[in-house]
Amino acid sequence: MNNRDAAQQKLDLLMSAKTAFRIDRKSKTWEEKVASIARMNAASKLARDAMRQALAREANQT
Amino acid sequence: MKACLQALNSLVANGVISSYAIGGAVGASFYLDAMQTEDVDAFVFLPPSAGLLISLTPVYEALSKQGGIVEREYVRFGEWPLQILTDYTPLVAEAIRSARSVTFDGVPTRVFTAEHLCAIALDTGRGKDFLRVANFLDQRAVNEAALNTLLERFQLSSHLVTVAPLRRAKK
Repeated sequence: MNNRDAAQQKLDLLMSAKTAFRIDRKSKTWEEKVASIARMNAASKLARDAMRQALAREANQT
Repeated sequence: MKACLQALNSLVANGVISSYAIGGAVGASFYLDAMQTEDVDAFVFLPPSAGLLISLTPVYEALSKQGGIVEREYVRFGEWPLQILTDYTPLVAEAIRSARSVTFDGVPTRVFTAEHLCAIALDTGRGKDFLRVANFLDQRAVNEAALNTLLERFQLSSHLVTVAPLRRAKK
């Protein structure tokens, strides 16, 4: 993976997490909002883990 | 979350705690758009004890018996870490006493009023706390007159100064 691909992958990850947050802001009841917080946490964790892996790959290549 | 509330209700029924109310970001989400948080904050009144020292050990033990897994200062129920906090200031004690009775997924529970959530956030005073108060004001989710009275009573009115630039910054 070249630097441009790695940067694009990081951007995609951030955008997917951001989109999940934006969609979840439409939740209305408390139950829906709490469920959406749980989804946000899951999305954040995925993004963090993927970002960590992408950075580790990048570090190995340099 | 539902499992957290069921466990807390069971602790009240068994006399391990006198009462409780949900605060923090999960409590705020009762009134506001969902915001990210990683735990559920439950503020509890402990039953009167003979000694002067307050111990949360019986609470953690009882939550474990309800299926919770103790992880550092949290007790995890499924995907939700539950944090137990006591009535550490007169403001928090009042917030627990004044909490609203609500239901979550059919489970009865109590949540801090919007005004008490804002006052406690201003008292706590981290960046995210001030931002939460700005959200309450921007989303008109708090009675400003009642909030101002509460802040005056607890000498927190000056803390609102920090919130004003956050509101401007968001616009």
